[in-house]
Amino acid sequence: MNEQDDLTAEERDLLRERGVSLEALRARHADCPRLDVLLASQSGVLPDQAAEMVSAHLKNCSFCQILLQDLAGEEFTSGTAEEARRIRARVLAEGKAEKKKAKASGGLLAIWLWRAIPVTALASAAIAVFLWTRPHQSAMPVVQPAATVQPAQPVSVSVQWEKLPIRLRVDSILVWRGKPRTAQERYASQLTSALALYRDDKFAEAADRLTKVASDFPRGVEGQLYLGVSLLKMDRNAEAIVPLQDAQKLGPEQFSDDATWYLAKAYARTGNRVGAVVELKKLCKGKSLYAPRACTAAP
Amino acid sequence: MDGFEDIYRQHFGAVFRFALRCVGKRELAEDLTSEAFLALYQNWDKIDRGQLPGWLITVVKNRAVDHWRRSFREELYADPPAEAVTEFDSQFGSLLLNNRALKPTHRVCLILRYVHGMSREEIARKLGMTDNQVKGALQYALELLRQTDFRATEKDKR
Repeated sequence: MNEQDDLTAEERDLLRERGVSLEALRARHADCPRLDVLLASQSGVLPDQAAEMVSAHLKNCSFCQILLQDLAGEEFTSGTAEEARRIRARVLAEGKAEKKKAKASGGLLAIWLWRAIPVTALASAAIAVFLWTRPHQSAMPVVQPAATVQPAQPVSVSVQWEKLPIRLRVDSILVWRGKPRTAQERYASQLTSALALYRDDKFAEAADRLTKVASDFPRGVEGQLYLGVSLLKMDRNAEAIVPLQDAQKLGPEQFSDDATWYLAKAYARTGNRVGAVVELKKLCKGKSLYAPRACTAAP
Repeated sequence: MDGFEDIYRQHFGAVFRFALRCVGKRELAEDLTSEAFLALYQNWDKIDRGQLPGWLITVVKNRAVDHWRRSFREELYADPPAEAVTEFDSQFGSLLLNNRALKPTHRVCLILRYVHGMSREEIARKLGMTDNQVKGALQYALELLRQTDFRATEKDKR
């Protein structure tokens, strides 16, 4: 579509008067960081390399300097009354539901897992119970009992603890603006749409998309990992093993640990108790957030 | 849970603002703010209220760091743009910079519309404004630009 198609006559006139070529202007700034990246760069939350890239860009791009300065103002960052109401309602609903759930189950049993485990496999069940009924630590760190909870150990929350949380809006994968040009950008683009389905618990559709992602980009760890978890969610446990093994090998460490954890689950569900214990022991020896639970489950 | 509502009312603004600055998207800021207050709700009896809102802010910040770490792929920005953008490269840029009548809202809407190529609806969604507010801001800003004698502005600058 022609970029100027949606301009009003007034806009077109002004730009013509000023001799502004929108096409050229936009082309020159196609590599400006996205708004969210720009804003985040000032809060010290971006990984170092990204922060350096944005900082270098800002030195040379006055548009982004102005944009950042203006966007940081209160008029853009204040929460609206509707947002305040929505968040309050969500906190109270989820908080009460969690309390009720904890009371009802005693925090000890994930029923959906029990269905998948042979009753006779007591040892395996014991592992699985420990494995899956304790909160996912990376998504929901347990607050140590203490008179005061230190802010350095914040509690994060995920109601859907049984699936690997994305912990982000999937459309937030960092890309520079514009159409995907490189293979990496195409990977991110495909992954993003697949993870949107995963986020919405549409695991069958997510698995289809992720199968394609994993096929097109076999070295993309996220594609393999979330494909494995999606298949697990559909009880296609045997099929989940290969992508999880691939994700485990591809790393980096954080993804590898996630993959190992879910691989143990896949093994347990397919009756491979030895395999499950081997994977849990790997986690137990490591320093990941899974280590304590893995050690408990497979001492 | 006596007092939770008061604490929420007292700190919502600061926590949400910080979250939005960390992640730059209102929907995501909403998620992070919810999670921080939910964590507070669940640990209500253990938390020293004297640490608020710092405790909430730290929860948000850690979650934002996690968000960016997980979403970030180094390869995506391994190749920097071939040509660095230098200075304002058009009359349009100078108009924006030198026109003191423009308020932040106008500048932001103009840049997002004409430089980033966003539609009015997209801008509204990104900025938490209504479509009509964006339309009004753009119309007003265009009118200001129309009244500006660009050549005179450049002359004054020298």
